[in-house]
Amino acid sequence: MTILDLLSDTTYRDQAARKLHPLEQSANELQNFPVETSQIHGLREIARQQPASVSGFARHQKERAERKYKIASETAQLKLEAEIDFWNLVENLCDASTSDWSVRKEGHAHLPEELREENIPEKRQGMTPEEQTHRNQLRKRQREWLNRWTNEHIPVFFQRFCTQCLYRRAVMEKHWQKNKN
Amino acid sequence: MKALNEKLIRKADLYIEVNRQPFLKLGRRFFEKFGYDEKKNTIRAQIRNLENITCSATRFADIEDFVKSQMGKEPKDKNEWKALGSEVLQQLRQLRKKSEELDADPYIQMALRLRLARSWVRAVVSEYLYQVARDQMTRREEANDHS
Repeated sequence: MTILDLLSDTTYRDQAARKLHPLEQSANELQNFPVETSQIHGLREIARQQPASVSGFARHQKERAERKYKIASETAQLKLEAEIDFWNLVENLCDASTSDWSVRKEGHAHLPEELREENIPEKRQGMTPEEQTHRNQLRKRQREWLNRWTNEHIPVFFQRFCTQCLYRRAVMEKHWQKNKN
Repeated sequence: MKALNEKLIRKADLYIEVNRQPFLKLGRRFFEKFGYDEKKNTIRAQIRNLENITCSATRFADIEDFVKSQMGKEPKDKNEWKALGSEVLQQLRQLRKKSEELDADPYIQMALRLRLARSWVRAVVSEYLYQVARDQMTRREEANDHS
């Protein structure tokens, strides 16, 4: 079993549920899940086939919702706000410096010893050309390592996340339906 | 995969043995909700799918995801998983918790979870099959009485 298996079975499963939870609360208030099932399926497919594009895809979807927001009615704006939050979350789940967790941040925690941030010399005045080359090489290797990590882990994480979305959407809709009747 | 030692295997098997009542009850609920094909005398594909995924999964969360996916499917006319899924997920959570209690090593916990899940699904499905067999027998007896 690899670290990918372990994270997929524990951290990714837990983070998928934890990160979605705040959006569920606003969805409950609106009695409307922020995105359609087709959008969730689309996200899962992109994560599977083009993991490096997920962040860009989420940004694109967010900008689309923001454009609609400007001309929408007040009720529609509330729904669009929730959709914008959803795509914002997806973008942050790939790579975020602002939130506490992302797939890339998880990668940082698993970097090999020599590529860890604290073991890469800081850029400073008076570095010899050899020191600069060594530093640049480490940075490059770190970047490549993290890109490999992201490409391998994004599909697995979003498999969990999208399933959690579809599941919670169905459970909440059933609950709303019950309350209506 | 880290191998489970004999002691852990015994503990996991014993846990399923001692706590099998709720699992058997779930098997009966599966029978009530899913039933079986009375004309062809075949069991429902969803039951076989649950058994297959549980026996072949390399990650426990894949079993949970299978149940969540079934629950998340748009209902055509009815979706039996929506009624039963929460109960299944609850029992799976219980198995996950047990694996964490039995050993501190996360890789051993993973292997334990899978072992627990496979014993669990055997208990659930065998009870379901027992209920199917009982029902078939009753129907045969009734048919014989009428003829």
